Amino acid sequence: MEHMYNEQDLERAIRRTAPGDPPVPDFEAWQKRHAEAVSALKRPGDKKLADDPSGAWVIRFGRTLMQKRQVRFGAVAAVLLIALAVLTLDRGTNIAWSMEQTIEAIEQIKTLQIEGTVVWPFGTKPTVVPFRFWVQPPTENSPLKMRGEVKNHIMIAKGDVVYECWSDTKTAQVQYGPARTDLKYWYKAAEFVPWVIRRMPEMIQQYAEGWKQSVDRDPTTGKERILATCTYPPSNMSFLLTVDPESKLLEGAKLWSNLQHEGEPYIDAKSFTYNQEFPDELFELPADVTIINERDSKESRDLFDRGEDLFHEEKKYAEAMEIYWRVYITYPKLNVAEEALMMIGLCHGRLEQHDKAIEVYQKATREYPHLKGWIDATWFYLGGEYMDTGQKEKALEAFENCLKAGEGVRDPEAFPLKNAREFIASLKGG
Amino acid sequence: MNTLGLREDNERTTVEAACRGDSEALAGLYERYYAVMVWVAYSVLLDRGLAEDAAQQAFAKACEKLRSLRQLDRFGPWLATICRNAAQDMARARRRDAALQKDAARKLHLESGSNGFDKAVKEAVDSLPSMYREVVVLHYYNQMSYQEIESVLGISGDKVKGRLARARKQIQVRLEQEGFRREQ
Repeated sequence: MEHMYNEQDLERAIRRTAPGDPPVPDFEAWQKRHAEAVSALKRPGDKKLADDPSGAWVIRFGRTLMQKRQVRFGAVAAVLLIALAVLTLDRGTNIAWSMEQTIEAIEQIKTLQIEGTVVWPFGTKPTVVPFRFWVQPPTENSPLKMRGEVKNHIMIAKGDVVYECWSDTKTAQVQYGPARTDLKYWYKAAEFVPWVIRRMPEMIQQYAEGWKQSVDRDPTTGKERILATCTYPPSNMSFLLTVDPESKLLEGAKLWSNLQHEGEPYIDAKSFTYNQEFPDELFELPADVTIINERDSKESRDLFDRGEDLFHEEKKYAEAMEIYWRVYITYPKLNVAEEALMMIGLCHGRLEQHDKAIEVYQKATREYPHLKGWIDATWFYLGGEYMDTGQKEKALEAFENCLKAGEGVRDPEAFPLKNAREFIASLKGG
Repeated sequence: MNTLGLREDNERTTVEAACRGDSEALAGLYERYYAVMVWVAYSVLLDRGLAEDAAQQAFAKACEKLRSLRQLDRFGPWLATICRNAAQDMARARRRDAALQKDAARKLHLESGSNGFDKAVKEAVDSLPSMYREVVVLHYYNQMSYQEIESVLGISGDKVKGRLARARKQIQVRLEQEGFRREQ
């Protein structure tokens, strides 16, 4: 039966489709989140750091540190770099400490281990997690070696070769280190003979703001220490550095992603251990890890993206399915295979082949039960297919598995957890 | 007068002051254009929360580039372009999420058996090409006149009228397919 409407009905209905209340601007909140943008405008007379070719990478590195996904180890590296560099500024102090002494001390470093905490920005909400980082600077006979550990993630660098591995999947990717966003500053720093400093101090001297320095005693040990604070507005960062007046070396460093030293530090490097001997195996991959080369990784992603274009843009589900199968068959050990299986299920679903979709989703949940990628969404779609085929008990179980798989990984108020809860309520209510 | 009830020379002065780092001027521009930016981004993303994020990112990008803006009286269209691009980047990055959510929403609607004119209208608006949806959203959600839309998007009034008319036509066709007929 047809329903009639007039122009006014239509206009009123369109207005009713507006999501939520009218947007309300909150300039103060925006300004806090985007202090970097505001500070760029507030420096009309200054020579902008970005205009200085040598300064441009400092800005980029600041941005990388705060915004990019690959902050993990680079963040730790960066705090050390900046901290050491800032410390070399000779701004006068009452205690016997000068730039030359710190440079001299740094030049004597054979190894360095840093431990502390970092804000882990992934998952449902940022959490503070411990990190460990080891560095052995390059010598005549040995390349630069680094190892970093954060959560289930290990990074090992030997010269230009970087292995990035995940303990839950037992796979490691091989990459060219200097091209990695989060590591290139380390490599760049390593070029600065002997291994840090040189250009950074000049730049920081020119651009860091609000330098304050004091001497006090560590409340636990009673030992004298130098505390220095400063800010770096273009990257919206502030620092607190602790220096040992005897060794002239850094003992601790905190970095905040605001200019006020407020809240939980983004990085809190609590301990610096210098010149400890590292065992050789520290820079070796665990024996049970499968190495995936960068070319495979890139090729699988390119192939997968072709499937994505066919699915999302061209809506050619049968053709997309073929590509996704190729991804799964060719690269079964890569994370992308799990995504490919889910997309194959979706293709079947779009083609109204519900039984086949169920088969594929079941395969994915069997083969990749522990992956924290798309397995929760796969459970969700399996539940959807069960519903479409009238299997309500199984649907309920699948939605509950979706909630379990996504717990602590996904935002509970977003897809697919929110939707799974809605379905569970609808199934239980019905 | 421009889009938001301010004289163009006044807006030019405000933009000039913002270029010099005047916080009050910057706040004025933000408050004046925030809703427009959110709706421009929404017409691409179809997600209110993401649209707000895109609007805020776009304004930050605009601040970084503000000194390169040559025609200060074209601030509105320039900002709308930045915002549209930011939303498109975001949409590309999350296209799969969007498609999956749409699937989920579709299934839920089917399951709950919800149907009706509003739902059909919403689907019709969401399925418009974003160029048409943009004027629909600004006109109906943000209550902007043709002239205001003309000024903020930097397109002629005739184009605004034309896009709105074509959008309404497409909505009607879609509604007809769903069993809703317009009274003659």
